[in-house]
Amino acid sequence: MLHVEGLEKRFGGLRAVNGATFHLQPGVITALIGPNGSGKTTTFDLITGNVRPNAGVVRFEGRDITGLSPWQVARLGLGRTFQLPRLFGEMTVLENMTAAVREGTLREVVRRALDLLDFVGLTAHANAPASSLSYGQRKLTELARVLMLRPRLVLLDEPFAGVNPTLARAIADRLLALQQQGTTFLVIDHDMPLVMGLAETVLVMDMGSVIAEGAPKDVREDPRVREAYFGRARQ
Amino acid sequence: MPRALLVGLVLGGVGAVPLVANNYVLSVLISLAMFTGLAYAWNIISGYTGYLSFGQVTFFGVGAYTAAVLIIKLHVAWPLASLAGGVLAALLSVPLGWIMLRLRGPYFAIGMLGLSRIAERIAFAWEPVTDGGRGLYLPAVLDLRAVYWAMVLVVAALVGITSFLDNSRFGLRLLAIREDEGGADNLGVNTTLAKLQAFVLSAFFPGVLGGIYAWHVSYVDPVTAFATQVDLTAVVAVLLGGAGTVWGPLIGGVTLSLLAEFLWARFPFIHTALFGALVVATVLFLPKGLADAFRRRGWLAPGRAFLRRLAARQAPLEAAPE
Amino acid sequence: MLWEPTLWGQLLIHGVMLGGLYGLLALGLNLVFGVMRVINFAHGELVMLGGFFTFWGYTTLGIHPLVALPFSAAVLFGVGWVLQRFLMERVLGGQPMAALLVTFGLSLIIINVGLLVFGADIRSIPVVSGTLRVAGFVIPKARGLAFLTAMALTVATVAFLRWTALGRAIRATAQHPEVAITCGVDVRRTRLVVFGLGAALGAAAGSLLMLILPMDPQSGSLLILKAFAVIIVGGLGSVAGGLLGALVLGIAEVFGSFFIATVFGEVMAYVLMLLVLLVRPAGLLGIAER
Repeated sequence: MLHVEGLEKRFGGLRAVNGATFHLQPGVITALIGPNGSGKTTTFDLITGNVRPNAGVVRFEGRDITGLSPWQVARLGLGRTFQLPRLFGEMTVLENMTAAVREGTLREVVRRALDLLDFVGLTAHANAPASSLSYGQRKLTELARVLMLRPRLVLLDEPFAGVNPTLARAIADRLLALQQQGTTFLVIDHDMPLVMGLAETVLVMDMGSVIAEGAPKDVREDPRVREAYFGRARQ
Repeated sequence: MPRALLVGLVLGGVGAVPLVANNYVLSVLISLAMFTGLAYAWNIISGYTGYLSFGQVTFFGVGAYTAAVLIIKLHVAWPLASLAGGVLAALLSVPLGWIMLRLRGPYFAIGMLGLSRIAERIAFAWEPVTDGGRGLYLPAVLDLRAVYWAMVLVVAALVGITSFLDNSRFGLRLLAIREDEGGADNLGVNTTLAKLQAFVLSAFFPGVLGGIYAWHVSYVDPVTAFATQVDLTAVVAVLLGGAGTVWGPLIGGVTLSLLAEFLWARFPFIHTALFGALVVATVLFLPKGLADAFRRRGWLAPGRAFLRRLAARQAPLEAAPE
Repeated sequence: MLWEPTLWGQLLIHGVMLGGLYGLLALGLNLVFGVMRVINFAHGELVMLGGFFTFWGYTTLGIHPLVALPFSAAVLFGVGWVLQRFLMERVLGGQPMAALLVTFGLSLIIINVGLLVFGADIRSIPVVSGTLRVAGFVIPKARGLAFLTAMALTVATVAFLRWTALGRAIRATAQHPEVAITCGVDVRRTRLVVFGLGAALGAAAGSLLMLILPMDPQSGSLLILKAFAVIIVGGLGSVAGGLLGALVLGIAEVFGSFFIATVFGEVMAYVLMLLVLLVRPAGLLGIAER
């Protein structure tokens, strides 16, 4: 579904991503974890075209998408959310949902938007300006908005960060529901219990490359992963 | 009253003015119409798309010179010449926009300002075509009615286009670019194309207006064709009226004209300072312009209602009023 | 093209002298941007005001421009302080374009003030005239004097930023306002000082410019474009970059004026600026913002 091979990105002297390689299976929620600064968000940026890689290849559904512009990647069915929710502040929630959608009549688009807003429980806010939403509401709106494009793969950057446990659970439930319908997810987050419980596969990044890959419980025990987070044990 | 009828009545009323007004009034109205038109054009690239340009006068000047040259050297009729001015401005705006729209925020603003200064210099230097600093002289115009109607037609077209923009997904895309261009990119909006389309639109109409202006005053020279004052007036009109709205430029244009007539005509020596004070006051106290103030008082319907209406029709129980 | 070392040397010297002056012109703008991330659109007008103040001192009070310069700078420092305190503080932290528009409106007000007080005529301060021959090159005394003073002031400013406590506070605020606060820096007062300093440096530049170039109250807009071009080419927020950019621009303008046409000499600044913005937006020495 998504194949990332040998991705590299240098910022001046810093190697943010250093030969990252992994493959995502379709219809699966995969978690991407790792200590701060391990290159997770940059990897997202490289996949979606926000940043050009110095080396490496990204293949999505068999197609080489390396170096494509973000809008081209999005139109191919690859969506993405951000750590800090980015909405179109002066526009209403409904306008946020519909602004980027090109296909379908306006009536159909609005219909789908309202359905998705209902899915995330924000129908009452459809006509409210996006800037009036609370942080948690913004995260939900961002998720609903990216789903309007009917993406087959969604990259979620810390969807649970800064959100109260009840809401986090609600978001996780929705992700599972969407996964049942066939959407693939790659999720960065630091909320270990939640994300380990949610994901089928876990990828661990450290210092710009993937150091472990596998089922949550295997990864949890992996000494390399422990070392990445906690440092080497003293003898 | 059905909308089409209302529009027809207004246009008819506006169009009938020359039958009763004298040349002085017509001159004032022509000026008002021209600056309102420029305001509307500026509104498209700056109000909606968020790329504040301090150099749209570049296209005004291009239109003015194109029309002047066509009228003088090829004896083209002035309406056609003005249109040609607009077309040339639009054509020029494609490569220029392609280059300039890569700049953001203040860089774009000042870059466009620099562009207009370069254009003025080129007009000075390109003597074979522009006659340099001496300027081009056109035949005198006695009948202001036709000029008036031409200006009003352009403004009407711009209002229509802006109204369309305000109620279309293209308009939403432009607003999305203004609010968060990167975010729009990641949602699949081809921002480069959308920006360019907005830029071309906001170059074409100033070009046409420049052509009509050249015919109206019968003289074109680099200083008047590329005067920063032209940009200034359009910018202030939109800021005052409300950027990114359908009626903002009109409200702002009319308000500015009223201020000009009653305030600045009395105190010509502080004209520039008053402009400046107006800009500062608007930014500090009325950041969304008069249109927004009117809207909050209920004197003006909220813009971009098309989605709201559709939503209300589809889920009458759930969609809450704003 | 004439390949004559003397000619090229002569042009180079003129270019460097002009560049030094442009460097001072842009220094104030660059500082304000570095600390507050705001392009002060009224900078050109402050420069003009400072120049005219010195002009007034010379024509009305008979004070030599170099003596009047510190006073002009002091007055404009006060003006800048007041503007920051009552106007700019209100728009900082809000929409970035709000600050630009406010300074733009401010520039209009200042132009008008200038027109009312000084009239619309073009003025200059021809206090020094004649030329010097140095090492076989001809150097107009006025330009030389302006250049040396500009360099002295620039060096003084750089030294100030480097070695004084206030200078360090300014640099800290420019790099990381939040961290600066936690280190005990009065960030708000620093901003007041910086805006005042920007205006003062502008006043100095204006005073020196009037020694060699005629100016009228409306010259501000051309000056801001030059200053902006300098810091774009050199790199926003980088003082060294600003100086380098100024040098490049000065040399380009002199060579352009000579070999192509005077008109294109002036346009060189804008052309270079646009080129840099498109090819290497970070400028020669600036920090790439992504």
